[in-house]
Amino acid sequence: MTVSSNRVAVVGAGQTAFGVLPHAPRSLLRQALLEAVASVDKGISPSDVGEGYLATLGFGGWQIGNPATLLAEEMGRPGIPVTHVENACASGSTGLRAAYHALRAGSCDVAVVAGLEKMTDDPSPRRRFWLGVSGETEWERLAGLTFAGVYALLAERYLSERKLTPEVLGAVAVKNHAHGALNPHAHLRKPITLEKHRDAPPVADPLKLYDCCPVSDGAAAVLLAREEVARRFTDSPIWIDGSGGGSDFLALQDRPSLTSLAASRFAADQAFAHAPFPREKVQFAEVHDCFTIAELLALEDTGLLPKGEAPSATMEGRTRLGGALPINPSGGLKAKGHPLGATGVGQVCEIYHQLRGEAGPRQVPGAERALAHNVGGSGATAMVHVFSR
Amino acid sequence: MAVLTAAAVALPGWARGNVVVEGPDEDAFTLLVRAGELLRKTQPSNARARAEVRKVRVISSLAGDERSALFDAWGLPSVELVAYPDSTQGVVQSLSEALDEEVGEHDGPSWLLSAQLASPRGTGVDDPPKQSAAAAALAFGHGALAEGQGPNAPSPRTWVTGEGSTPAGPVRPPELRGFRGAASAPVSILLTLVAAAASSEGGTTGSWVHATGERTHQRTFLDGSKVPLQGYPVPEERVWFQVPEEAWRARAGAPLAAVSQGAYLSRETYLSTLPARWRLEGERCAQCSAFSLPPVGRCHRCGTRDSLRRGRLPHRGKVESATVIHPGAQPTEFDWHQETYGRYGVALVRFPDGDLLTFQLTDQQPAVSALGADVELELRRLYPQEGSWRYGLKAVVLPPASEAKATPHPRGA
Ligand SMILES: [Zn+2]
Repeated sequence: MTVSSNRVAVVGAGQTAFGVLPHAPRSLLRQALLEAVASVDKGISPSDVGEGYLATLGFGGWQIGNPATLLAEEMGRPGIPVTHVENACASGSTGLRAAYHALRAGSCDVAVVAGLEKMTDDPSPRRRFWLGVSGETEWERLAGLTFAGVYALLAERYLSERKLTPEVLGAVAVKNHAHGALNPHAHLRKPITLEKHRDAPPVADPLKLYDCCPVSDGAAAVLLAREEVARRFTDSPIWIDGSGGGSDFLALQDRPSLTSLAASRFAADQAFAHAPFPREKVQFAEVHDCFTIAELLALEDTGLLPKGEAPSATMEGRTRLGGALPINPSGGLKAKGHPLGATGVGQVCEIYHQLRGEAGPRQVPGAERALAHNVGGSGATAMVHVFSR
Repeated sequence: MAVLTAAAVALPGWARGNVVVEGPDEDAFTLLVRAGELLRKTQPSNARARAEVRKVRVISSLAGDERSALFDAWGLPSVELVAYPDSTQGVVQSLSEALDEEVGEHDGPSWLLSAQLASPRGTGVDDPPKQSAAAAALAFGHGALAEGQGPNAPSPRTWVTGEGSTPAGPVRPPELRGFRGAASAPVSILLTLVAAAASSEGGTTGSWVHATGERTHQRTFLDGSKVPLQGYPVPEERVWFQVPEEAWRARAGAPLAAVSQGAYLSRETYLSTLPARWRLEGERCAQCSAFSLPPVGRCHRCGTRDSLRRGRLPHRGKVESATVIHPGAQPTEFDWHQETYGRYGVALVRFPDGDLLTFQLTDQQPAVSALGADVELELRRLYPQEGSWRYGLKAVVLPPASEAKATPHPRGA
């Protein structure tokens, strides 16, 4: 289905570096918005923006209630309708989807989507407390699981069913660390080796330290415009060609499969049902790799690779920069960092710059079509967006 | 006048398996639960004896809501529960009252339980690991039951069961490790009684009650023999709840804000879902076969409101997937566990009918993840919150079938 009459474009995108940052949440948000505004080729004024969506968990509780109004304030546009969106780690892409629909519905001509998280200033016990709150409480958390443990259960089953060793997880980590080393915005910018991955301290068997994304601060923002007005802001817009979402049972124990996330499958199917090109045409993707196993799941759940091919594609280097289907050229959550609410918006920043040929040393040559995949919790929610230039 | 009709002994996992368990999570409450479960399995097949439990006597220092939670754990309707002080006097008084009770031919049994727990860990060479913990449960009923009357009356020997029983004998005599010298502790007295009952020799029964004292009662025991029950010297009270109990209590008393802010299961919610959490009571959907916990009159998978059938999942299953949580990867509720014992396992357990649930693994040393292993679920301590313990089912990995055949597992049947 072609929806060219009602398309939505990304006309600007910016983010802070992800990492351990000294800034307060509000200034992180301000920096990301300034970057996004500065990235608009022909300029944009606050008065152009008609609506805003802020994705944040309010990690640590700094502003759990009513944070979206900060977006209007920092955008310089107090008074516009703003909405706080929260789908755990998929909050950013959920905000994107909400803005996409608002624009297609004609609610406004330009919308801003921002994601924000300040995580590193919480004392460790409190941080561990917060890291679990998006999981299922009554059975999973109270059986002693945080997300590392939940993804470990997925990984253990995955490796066992496919008769694989944790080396395949290491291959994901090594690749994404290598990509992150090329990204000035990445939290972890040091390449690692398979040996370093293998010898790292265990976290939740079979996951070790380098299977886990870091705890990061950061903010990201994108400016979306309806097709009718998009060229007022740029001659090189990036189009959102499809938006899909999905959900699943909160707890693993209620799901039919432990080696596939149904929410990701639903989201991808929905996104491609609207996209003007099939998934085989996607040239690179930013996928949700909070733990290395998650990237392997994502590759098959989104249909970017046929069922069963994610491990071999990874081991053979097909998902590396320079391979046939680069995955997470930004470094992914694994190396770029994972400031929860900002993550999904940050993925769009990467895709925006890649599709415009602005990604520097990590540029995917000739990239025209891309996919963003963002998961909430252990797969209870997921969003997939498809882009082209 | 009632007589002893059945008895059971429950031992914690660390005493059953002859190993020092890394994360002992059994206490007076879980052992009382287990002793009651064993007692129920031990009840004579005689229909009258299987009548509903009429009254429960507990010698313990359990808090009030923990005492009433025993019924949730056993899946028994709440009946009168009498609590006795955790002392020798409590034993004398409770035994006397249980035996003195007028019992009709059709009355259900009354139960008397006691549990004791001591530190499972010593502090060094001079203080080797203590493994003294046990619970005893006794059932009292109409005299005729004990006299072997009726067509289905079993022999007394089979009426007694317990952890540590072997195929050859019904019960291991209770000179349990660590209980030596602790004959004054209430549970030791009950254990002695259990052993005496197992031996079904009146003389043995008499050997412990023959101490001197001012009160004298005559009782009929399993074999119908008359034995004098006398008071005995009140010993120095033994405090069995020591390290790490004190530390745990202190931890449990930490301010709410320090342990929980958002993923918070209130004590009220916890108490209201005990049948689902402890006994896996739920509803089976005839439309999609999903099992919903707790039962709310609606299938959690397909939403159907009719064709739901109440049921329970068995307390056995297989490990579908598992992980070991290393220090730092635990939720804050489990900080005490990691600080005290280190890593622990968690498993997704597949039940025979295909249902899947999540449980912490316990009695492991070291913690390992063992896909495909058979597990048995037992009620254990989960974590401390708001000044008391939360309890839940945990999975104990059973030895492989071949191994179990070669050497009888101390867990018994
Ligand atoms: Zn159903």
